Amino acid sequence: MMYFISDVQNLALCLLQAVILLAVAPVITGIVKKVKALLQNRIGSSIFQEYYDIKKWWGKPTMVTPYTSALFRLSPCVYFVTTLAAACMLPNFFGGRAGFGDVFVFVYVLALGRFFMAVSSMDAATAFGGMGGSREVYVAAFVEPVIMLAILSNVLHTGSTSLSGMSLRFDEVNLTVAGVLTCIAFFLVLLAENSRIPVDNPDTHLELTMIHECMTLEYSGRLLALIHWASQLKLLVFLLLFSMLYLPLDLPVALKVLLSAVAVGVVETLNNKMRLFKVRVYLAAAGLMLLLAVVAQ
Amino acid sequence: MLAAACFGVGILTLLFPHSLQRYAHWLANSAALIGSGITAYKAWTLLAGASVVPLTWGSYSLACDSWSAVFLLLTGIAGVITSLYALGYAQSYEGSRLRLLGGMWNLFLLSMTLVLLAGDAFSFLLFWEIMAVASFMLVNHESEKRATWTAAYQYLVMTSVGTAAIMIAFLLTGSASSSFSFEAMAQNKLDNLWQHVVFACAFIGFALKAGLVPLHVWLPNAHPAAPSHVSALMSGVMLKIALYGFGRFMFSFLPMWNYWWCIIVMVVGAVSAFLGVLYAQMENDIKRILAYSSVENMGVIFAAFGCGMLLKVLAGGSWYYLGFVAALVHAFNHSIMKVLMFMSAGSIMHGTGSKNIELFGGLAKKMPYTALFTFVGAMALAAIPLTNGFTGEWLVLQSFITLVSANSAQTTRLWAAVCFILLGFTGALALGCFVRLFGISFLGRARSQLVEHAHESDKFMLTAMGLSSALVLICGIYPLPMVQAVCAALKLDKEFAAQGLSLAWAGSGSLAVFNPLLLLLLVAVISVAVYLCVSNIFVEENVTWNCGTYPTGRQQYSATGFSKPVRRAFDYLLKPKRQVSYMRKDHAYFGRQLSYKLEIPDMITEKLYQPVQKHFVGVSAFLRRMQQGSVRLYVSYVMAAMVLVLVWGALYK
Amino acid sequence: MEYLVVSLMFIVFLQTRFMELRRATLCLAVQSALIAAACLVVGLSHGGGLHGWLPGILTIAVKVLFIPYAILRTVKGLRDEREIVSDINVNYSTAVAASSLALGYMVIDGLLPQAEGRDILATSMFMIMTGLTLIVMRSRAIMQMIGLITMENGIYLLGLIMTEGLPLIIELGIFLDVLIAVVILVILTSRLRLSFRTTDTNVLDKLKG
Repeated sequence: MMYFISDVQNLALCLLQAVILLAVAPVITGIVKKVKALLQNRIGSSIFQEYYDIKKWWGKPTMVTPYTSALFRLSPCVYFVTTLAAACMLPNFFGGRAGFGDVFVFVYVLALGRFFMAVSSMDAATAFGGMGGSREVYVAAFVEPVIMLAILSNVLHTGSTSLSGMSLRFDEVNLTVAGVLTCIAFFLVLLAENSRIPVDNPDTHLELTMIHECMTLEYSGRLLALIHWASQLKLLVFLLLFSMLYLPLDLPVALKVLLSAVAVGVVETLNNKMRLFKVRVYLAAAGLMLLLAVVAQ
Repeated sequence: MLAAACFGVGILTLLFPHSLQRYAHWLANSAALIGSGITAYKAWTLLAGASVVPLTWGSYSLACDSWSAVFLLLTGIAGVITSLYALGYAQSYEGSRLRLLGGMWNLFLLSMTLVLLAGDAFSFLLFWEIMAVASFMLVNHESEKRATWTAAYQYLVMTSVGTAAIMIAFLLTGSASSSFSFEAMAQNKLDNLWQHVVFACAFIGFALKAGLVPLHVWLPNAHPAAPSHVSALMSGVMLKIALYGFGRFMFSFLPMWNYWWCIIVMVVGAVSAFLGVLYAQMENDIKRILAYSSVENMGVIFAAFGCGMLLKVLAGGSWYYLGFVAALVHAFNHSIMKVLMFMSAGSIMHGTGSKNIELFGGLAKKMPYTALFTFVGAMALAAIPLTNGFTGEWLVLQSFITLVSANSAQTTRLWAAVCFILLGFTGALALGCFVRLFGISFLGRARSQLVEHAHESDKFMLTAMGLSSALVLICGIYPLPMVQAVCAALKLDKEFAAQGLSLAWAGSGSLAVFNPLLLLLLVAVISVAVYLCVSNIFVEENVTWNCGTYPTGRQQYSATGFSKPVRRAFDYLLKPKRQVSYMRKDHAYFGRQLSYKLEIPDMITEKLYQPVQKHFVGVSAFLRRMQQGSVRLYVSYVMAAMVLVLVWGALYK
Repeated sequence: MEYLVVSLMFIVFLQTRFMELRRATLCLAVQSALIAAACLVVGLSHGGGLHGWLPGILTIAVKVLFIPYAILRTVKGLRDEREIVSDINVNYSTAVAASSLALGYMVIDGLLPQAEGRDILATSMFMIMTGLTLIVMRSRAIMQMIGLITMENGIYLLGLIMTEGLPLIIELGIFLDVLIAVVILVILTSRLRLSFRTTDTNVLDKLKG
């Protein structure tokens, strides 16, 4: 029981950290968009635009189709809750550790959110929803083994599977071949998982070119705000993960996150979205790099 | 003993006259229920430390040790749930051999229990055969349909082949030991070559029964053909009994394991998992999807088993048990999940009359409870946290990680990495598969008229499904009793402490933890916060914008369409055959009618089984020339043989 | 005893040369009489009394009298059958019989080098093989039956020699003869005749699987 109490205390601290991350997440996405705009010779919107967007959606009414079930209204909440829970699992700034899950739990909690979103995409009885759902599970089918391999490679390097353990030995710079390969591959996975170009276009609403947006096409109002906020939080979580676990530079974490956000923006500008069926080739390349990294250790 | 008596009563209901068949049905299923309950209870007390006196009768014996106790518990629980379900479901079979269904059901349960209790080779094989025959009769219950009896026949042939292999393994082992009882066979003296042969035969036999690729071809045919509660029990329990038999061989009879055996088990398991779920996503029949999902999960279980074997062979130390714990926990969880899903498939069939998910859609409004329970089951099979599917999956992944980092041989690491990749694919594809199953069947709008007349299932079926959903959630949130029971079964001290599962890692001393209770707490806290924010949204209902036209039910995605990206991604494995033909062209510019036919051939049947079949038939046709129909020719054969034997005996004394 | 053996060999050789049904049956009767004589000799030499005479009398009754009578009766009923007598040349049968005699001697010398009743043993083997030869090489049912009974006589003789005294097995052999005679010979042959109007067993070739 004593363990339980101390675990609950840890949990509260983690929750606090997660809420802080939640507050910071829209800025990071704003930074990415600003970088893209500047590279495209535009001024672009301010980096706080996402806050204004969320506030705007929060005030609007929600419209639902009569064909949907209660799942439709439940899913964005679940998605938000799971992403926040995943953010709680990140290694703690306050020194404690989240006593309830390691990296596999992290990945599968995010999968919980994806499950609900994919299922509810079929709920509105439109063709867009099915399209988004089927593409999402297709991309997920290739992303998951690659994430597993990335975890494997990291485990081989650090020898633990809890998230704090995995980042513990990272004060040294891991510039081995394996480390660099893993870093690049995880960056590719990050782009795939968070629906960034070259896998998915987060800015468009044409059905030929969207995956994540396609799933959430029917949402409006507060539910849409929750979804967007959760996606932004997910991007921040992945950037944090990338910085803490994989990026082999000797900088404070916040700076690494900013650097990665800028890198995301740059990569998004320099590439265009791939054809859907080339995504498997892309992720297979990432997987192969990781396999080499695993072998090289 | 009492359980056997209950089952015996149930079997005797076969003899009821036709007019009393309804009472026969009630009695049979209640007897099965009570019998299974007693089995589960006894198994639980056994795991908690009681001991059972073995019964012997001549050279046959019935004994129960902790390895069988786990499976007995599994059988008992699954039996209780499915018998409860059958009370409601089997009523629709009234008039078509209901007594046979009830009686055979009890025989099936009894034989499975006795297989687990068998203490020597002969009784094992006897009860194994009874189990096979009982399940054949149950599968063949609706034998008016051609699909049913072809599937049942295929099942019978394949299970006979499997039994033959197992029999060879038992005979070889028994002939090298003092008697045929299990304790004596545990001290056998087989030399190396024969050990390989025994392993091969045992693996082939049990893998066939468990449904591993490439010996799984009977599973997707037999499970849809059987009544739903039968499929549930077959998929939930009978496949695990194969695991029981294989484990008994590995643990008792062949204590020294070869490196390559472990690799074979692991790789075959991982490949089955991947191919199983890939084919699952391509199917349109609910029960075939669930059957392939069983192939997938049995593959995961055997992969974990192989991983455990490999850990023991290579690493030694104390981490080897992780793979076996993972396999057992996942077996237990899978039986409950699969039972739930087959029961819900049965409810859907009962309510709508069809098994084709392409014809459903919007069933959640007509069958809300079934939808809820199916959702829990789909979540569990997709290995989502907070359900018990994830517990097993987590343990399996942890065991593979342990394998990879516990030793540094490159080839082992490569094999483990390959299996790891396949398992990753499996997890994600399973998620996609069950999203598809649930989404297409229950959500959206109706795709055909069948949904209009759908009705909810009756209270027995709902109670049974509710019971197993509750078990799924409970074992997901509080897995500790189950995991400790499994550890007790494998005779390990309890490494898993506190409320969650925590493993002390050999690598760096830090813990790899998974505490679902805390996760639930966290999720609950956050959900409350979110709910408070979202609860007072102003909701307006309006029809979806469909670019100006009115949306119809046929504009939704179909099941085939949903799995198209995955199908195209793996088309070098699946090799789908497409056939598009233009049927009518009314107008020069639009109004064409197309016919599109898609077929995914079963690669394994075509490439592996049919050539073998053709070869056999060819050889048999050639040998038929020896039979000319003339008696004198046959007598001359006899004479020639006699002369040969005599000459040989005389000359080569 | 040696005279018995030699005449038995001669009679069996003669048996292979008959193609007509009546003559073959009479030859069979003589052969069986010789076997019965052997039985009497063995019975008397192992102590007399009823137990010594009885098997011999039984053998005479069944093998010499009853079975040839049954065959002759059946033959008499074969009046209206189609005459397709497609037997193989008798010389072949005799040649095979001779070689089986040689085989018999060779086998006996190989298996039991210093046996006492070497001739009788070889003769019994010879009779068995000749009986099989007759079955193979004759296409009429009655002739095949005669071959079968020859084979049985050979087995009977072998049993007679190998066992000490005259145990139950001899009586069993006799009764088996009755069974063969009545059931197979009479009933099946008449069925064959009724169905096909002939007793040439080559018509049964149509019944292949």
